[in-house]
Amino acid sequence: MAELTIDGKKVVSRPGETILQVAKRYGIKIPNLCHHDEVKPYTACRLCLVEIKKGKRTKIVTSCDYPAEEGLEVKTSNEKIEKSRKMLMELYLSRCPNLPVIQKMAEEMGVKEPRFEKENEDCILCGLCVRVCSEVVGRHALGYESRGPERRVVPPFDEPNPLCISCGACTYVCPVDVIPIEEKDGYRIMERWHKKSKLVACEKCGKYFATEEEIEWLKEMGLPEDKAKLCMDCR
Amino acid sequence: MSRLNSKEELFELQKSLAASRSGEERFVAVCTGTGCLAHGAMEVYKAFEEEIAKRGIDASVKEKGDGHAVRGTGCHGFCGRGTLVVIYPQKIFYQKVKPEDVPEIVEKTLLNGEVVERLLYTDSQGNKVVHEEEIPFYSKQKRLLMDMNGKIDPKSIEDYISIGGYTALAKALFEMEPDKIIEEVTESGLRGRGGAGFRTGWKWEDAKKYDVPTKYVICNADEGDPGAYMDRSLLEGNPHCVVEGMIIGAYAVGATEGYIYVRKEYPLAVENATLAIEQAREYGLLGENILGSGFSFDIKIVRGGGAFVCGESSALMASIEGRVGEPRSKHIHATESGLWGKPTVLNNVETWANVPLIVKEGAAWYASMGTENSKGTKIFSLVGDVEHTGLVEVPMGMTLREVIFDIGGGIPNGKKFKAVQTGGPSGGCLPESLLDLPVDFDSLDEAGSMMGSGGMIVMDENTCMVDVARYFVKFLTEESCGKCTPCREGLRRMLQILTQITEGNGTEEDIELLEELGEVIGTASLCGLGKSAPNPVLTTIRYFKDEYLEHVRDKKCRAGVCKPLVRYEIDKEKCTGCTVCAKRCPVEAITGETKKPHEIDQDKCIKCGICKDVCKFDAVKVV
Repeated sequence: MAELTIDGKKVVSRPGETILQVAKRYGIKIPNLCHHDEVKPYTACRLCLVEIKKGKRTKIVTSCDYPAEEGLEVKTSNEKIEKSRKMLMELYLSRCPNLPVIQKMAEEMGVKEPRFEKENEDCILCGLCVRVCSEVVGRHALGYESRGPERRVVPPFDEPNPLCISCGACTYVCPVDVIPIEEKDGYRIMERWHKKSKLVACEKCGKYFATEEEIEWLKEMGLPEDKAKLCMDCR
Repeated sequence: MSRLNSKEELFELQKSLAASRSGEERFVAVCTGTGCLAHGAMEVYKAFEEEIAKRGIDASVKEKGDGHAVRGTGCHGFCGRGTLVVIYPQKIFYQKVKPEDVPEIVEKTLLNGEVVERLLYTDSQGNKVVHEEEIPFYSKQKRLLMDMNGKIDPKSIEDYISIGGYTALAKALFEMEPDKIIEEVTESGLRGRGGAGFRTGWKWEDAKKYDVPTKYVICNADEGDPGAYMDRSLLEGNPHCVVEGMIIGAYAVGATEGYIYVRKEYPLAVENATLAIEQAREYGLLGENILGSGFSFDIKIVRGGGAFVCGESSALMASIEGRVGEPRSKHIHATESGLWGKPTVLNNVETWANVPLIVKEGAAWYASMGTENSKGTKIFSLVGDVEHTGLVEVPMGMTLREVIFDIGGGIPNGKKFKAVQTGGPSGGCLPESLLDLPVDFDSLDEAGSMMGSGGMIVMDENTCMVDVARYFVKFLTEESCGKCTPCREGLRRMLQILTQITEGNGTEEDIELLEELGEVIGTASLCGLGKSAPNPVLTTIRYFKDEYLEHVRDKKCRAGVCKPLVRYEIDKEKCTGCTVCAKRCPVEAITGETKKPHEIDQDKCIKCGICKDVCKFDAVKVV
């Protein structure tokens, strides 16, 4: 429990909370693209920059990983931060001009036409898919290839990865919705990762409910054999 | 050699080694630092050994006692003049020595005490200079660290001990409490030599206060700046000095393990540091119960894969842990939670190397050198368009002019000075009007550049500043890890714009956009690499804006570097019709009759510049 202010408003943080989390709880909006409460802060999108005042000194920090400490005076924006956010959105918009999420965020920040050459990438490299796969599912099926401007998210060697269980956690967390997941003819297909997993039908109701790899993984996690054969509804 | 079990045993050994090296012994010191090795120092070294053996004069020069008449030493610093050879005890300094010069040196100098005039350094007035310390390149320096390099064989711990090596460690272990050591280092004013310039003593103090059983110290030897090699030369030339500094630091903060993170591209540094660690262990200076003091500490070497970003402390630690070398936020300092989550002190090679000196000579002595906020000396890698290239060590606060002109000998070939870049690829380019700027942390920061790790690249009038900015941004774009958006996306956009400008497709708005983008990359990037990356662009716009404007408005590159913006023309008045240019032109773009002025067909010309290089009459002009 710590008391601090965000944009002049008194807020109380819970143990372990970051500035971004407290702000969110109090309905104070701080833009971000690479944050998710279920995974560790990554500080890559840099949109959540805020100004903090601690004693006499002010500095700009990422709110997604900065602890909500006692006595902090947080400003969610200032001229410098505003400038940075706008430029970052302009960079995102030129990299991925066709992503509705990016278009909308850019528009909200007043960024219209990017001054940089437009490309047609779809991934914003927030790393959420990589992190959810490692930190939540525990499969480590995704990673980064190359570095700098060449960086890409791929399964190792950009080949179907046996570690991937086609659970779809990556699809779920992707903030720009570019990891499609599809079920067809008894298979779950994750095209982006070149992965095709056989679906298993519930012994009771006959509906497909999970992939074979998912069931193996659930068993490893301690789910009893008999329950692993049933869908959530029939368990 | 048996293990040293007390400080008395160390002092005894030191005394006997020093006595056997009275300073009067005859030996030939051949610089085998990286620069000289590239000049062929190993061949020179072997030639000396062979010649001495052949003449049977082994005994007459072998008074040192351990059988080495020829000694391969660390880097002497005057790298542009390699291979360097110093004949002791007279300290006759020979430069640009080739293997074929060796028989003459042996005959004249070793046997007859005569000087080989043609191998001496000639000063700007044409005078021959016999001794190292009389050469302006050396006489204006303050060589606390570099001086040791030239005197010892880096592969010999006895050489290091003979000049007082490891006595600072003994002093620290037996005469000083850890707090006292930290106090000394703080009072000395020593600031990190790797880039950020953080006060070393404060860092140590912070790490000391955590009462946990495991702490680490790390030596950052991941020097990756193009053209910079001071850390390399220290680790290659005097590895024990770095090791000694690390042991003292570990004792002060309570660390039990240390790492030297050194790039694999530095094989000699890896070799010499590995050997130094082995020798130190053998002598009881590293490992269990150091010098019988009860303090135990050991060092491992980790070889880096060569990513520039791994010089950033948090990326470096990630790399040691076996993860991808990517930086993390530093709200929590490494001194609290660094390597494997343990309190960690990470310092640069040169910082560690300064520690034994401070412990031995005291904080007041160290703080007497330098400026108010930058103490001691700094080694710079002086390279580029400068007469004397090499490693120079100067007291902080010396002006750029003194370093470049007095020590560096100015700009070669009668060219004019244009700019100097300090601090590595993400440092700033400073113009002639700032030549009287004192070289210290704060002054360089204020001017938009930085001390960095000590790179100093001099550029003459034939340098295009837009092209220079493009070059460094290209390097940094390629070395960006790609984790955070401003660095990854921002730098490649900067590169796109700068490339456009150098190709003649830039606009004035582009210059504004570069400035805007530069400011944001500096504010928003995750680590020091990104934060400082716009410096070369922002400083070249700040100090050389007219060149940018010429590129975008007049489509001109005054330095003649940006090929799409230049034309080669033949001055009819000066051309004698010698036909050399026509013969050498690879695309047959030059025509003309013998003894009559020639002409370049602009449609065919590929702007390779060969015609200009081969013309003896200075008739080819770049317009």
